[in-house]
Amino acid sequence: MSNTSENPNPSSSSAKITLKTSDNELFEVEEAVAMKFCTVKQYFEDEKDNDVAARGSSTVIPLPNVHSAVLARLISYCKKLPQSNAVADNHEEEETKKKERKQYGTPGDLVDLISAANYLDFKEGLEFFNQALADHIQNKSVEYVRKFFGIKGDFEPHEEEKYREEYAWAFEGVDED
Amino acid sequence: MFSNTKGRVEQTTKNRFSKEKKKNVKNLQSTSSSSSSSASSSFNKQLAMTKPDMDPEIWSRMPEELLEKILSLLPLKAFLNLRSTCKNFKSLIFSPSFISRHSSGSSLPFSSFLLLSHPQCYNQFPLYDSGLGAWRSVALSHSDLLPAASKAPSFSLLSISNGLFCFSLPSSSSFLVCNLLARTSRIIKFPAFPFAFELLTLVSTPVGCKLFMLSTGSSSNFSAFVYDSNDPSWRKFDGFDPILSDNYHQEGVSFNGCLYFSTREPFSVVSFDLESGKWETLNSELPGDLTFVRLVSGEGKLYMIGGVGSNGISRAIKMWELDQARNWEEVENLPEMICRKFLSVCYHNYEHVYCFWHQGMICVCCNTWPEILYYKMSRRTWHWLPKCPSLPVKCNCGFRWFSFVPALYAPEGVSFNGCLYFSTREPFSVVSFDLESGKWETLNSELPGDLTFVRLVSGEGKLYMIGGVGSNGISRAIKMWELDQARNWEEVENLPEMICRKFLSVCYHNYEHVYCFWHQGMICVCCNTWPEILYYKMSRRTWHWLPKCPSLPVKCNCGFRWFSFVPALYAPQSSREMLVFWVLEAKIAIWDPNANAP
Repeated sequence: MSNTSENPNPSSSSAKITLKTSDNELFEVEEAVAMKFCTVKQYFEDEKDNDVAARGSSTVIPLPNVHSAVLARLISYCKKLPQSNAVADNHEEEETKKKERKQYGTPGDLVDLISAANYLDFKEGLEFFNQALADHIQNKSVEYVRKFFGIKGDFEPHEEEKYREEYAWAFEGVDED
Repeated sequence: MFSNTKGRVEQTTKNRFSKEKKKNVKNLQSTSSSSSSSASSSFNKQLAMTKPDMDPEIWSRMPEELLEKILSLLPLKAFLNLRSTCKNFKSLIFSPSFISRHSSGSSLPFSSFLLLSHPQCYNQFPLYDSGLGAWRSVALSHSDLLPAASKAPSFSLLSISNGLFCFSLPSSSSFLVCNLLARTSRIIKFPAFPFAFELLTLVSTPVGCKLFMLSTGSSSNFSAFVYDSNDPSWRKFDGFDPILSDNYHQEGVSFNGCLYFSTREPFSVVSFDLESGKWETLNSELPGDLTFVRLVSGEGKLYMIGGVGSNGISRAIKMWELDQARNWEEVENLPEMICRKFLSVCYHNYEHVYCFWHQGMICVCCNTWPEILYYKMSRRTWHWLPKCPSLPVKCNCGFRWFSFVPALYAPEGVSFNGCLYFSTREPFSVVSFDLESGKWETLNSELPGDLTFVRLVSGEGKLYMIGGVGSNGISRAIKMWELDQARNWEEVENLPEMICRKFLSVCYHNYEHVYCFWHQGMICVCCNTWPEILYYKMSRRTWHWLPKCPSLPVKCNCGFRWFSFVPALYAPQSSREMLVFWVLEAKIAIWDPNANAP
């Protein structure tokens, strides 16, 4: 593998894991990165127990539910993990974080990233992208959210009217769709 | 009671971040030979083309528990707005992750309001949004109130404390305490009938509410009555100083666990201890030449507003603060023009003047005048709040203002030895809240190592801890500890392996959904996403699964919320019980152990 020579820290390059995506792309990633994906970790450790790991980096872990474009995105997110997902203390900090979260693509992309992070059991990523999507729908109307998630309203019209009115006192309107 | 992995995420993120910088991940056999970071920049366009924003298939790719997670990250207000999307959304407001997030105080604050009750706004309460500095175009109306209140032929608003309202329902001889945001309510019967009361004051606490009032009851002497939502009965305290009666529209001022009142001439300040029921007179000497006295408390301080003058005519209005040495220290003198206007507004009839605290403001109101005079603590300035535009031009007196600060729920804790215990997120610890003194404390007992999650349960006079043991957020075992006499956590149980595996797979290693409670000699360990309860029978020291409720559909969503319900003639009511009613309404079945005992 010629690429390993580019690694600035060869001592840590010993363990690499190859991941195979749904569209048959192969990704060779550092073990430390792959271990963040608990699904991969579990698979890897099971393999180890079965002594298959003796063959080392030649083990290919299939990820039939993840597209290569999504996996590339997740790996790049791993590399520049934000400092913290915690709730910001002040308004300014919150705004900076919101902007950071916005960089990860359209709401449609986010849904892909979330389902992939969920499948891979990648907790930090899941939390981050969940928050990014929550930011997006925060000030949207009920109609927009229904359309976005493909949800059918299942209330009787009078019920829906009632529920909307219950908290009418608390609101001053939402964003334009 | 719920914790999540946020603390851990923070820590590991920091550790890994430094390592990651050195490492270089390469996309090996991808058609583009570029590094993964540039691959991801082209990713955006690539996906944008194939998957437009409004993909109707998104829903099918998005498991429901993930959607629940996303919705629980919304600010409360945004979520309330979206709850009419579908039935599933509406029921989410009762999900543990949502409740825990929005009662921890970590979520963004909701708006706060000044609410006006006026006889000419029949069954309408205009709202002034003090955050936006504007009147709301929509008033809080009769129909917004809970069914219990809106069906009553007559009701009147008596008191508001933070997000809780107290109404009297004379036709059913009771009070109604309700939370408009959570849409929960409680009916409190009058302690006697017929019943007349004065000085009714509602005090919301972190764990419920208290109701105070003076009444003659059946005898001719005044007594103090206190109702505590955590010990739902009326307590009567005699030995009251009658100087307080006939005090128009004044509520007690809640400060340090006591209610403070100012008396008429000769002026004095008295306090009533809500726990012991003892009356005391504050010894601090009052300033001279007072014409009237009102009290306000806020941000841990007690203030006094009063007129200074002679023969019942005020020349100035001042504000004092009770300092550390318990002396009244003058902090403000109302500017002359504002003072003149205020005094002319109330025609030197100070009985109509009342004061209250609202979000860093001291409001000084007169029953006969449509504007509020307020003092902004942060800027040390006085202002007039404009008249409500929906009031008729010519309106009668009877302006009654309240501070309304909506909140969803008080946090749920584990009650033990008069304290509520909570487990915190990582780094794990156990903290207690003393229901009497209101003090928070951290339990010093050292916790076991390698914990992945922690829950508390108390029963039969003991405090138990259930927790996962493992590493990197993955549990390898679930154990139970008991707090022993020496206040050490002693291991008492280790979940058998097969049961442990099932439980861990049930919650997908996501421990946020796990919660525990005590029920009649059983410790129940539940997961929000799973229809069975895992329980430990104390007497036999055995673990069992409680079967799924047969009336649930075969395929059902997550959102299983269980409660221990022990019917009794005088059931101890708590905020939990209010939740039960709402869950029942949402048609979630509750398994009755008496009907189906194994």
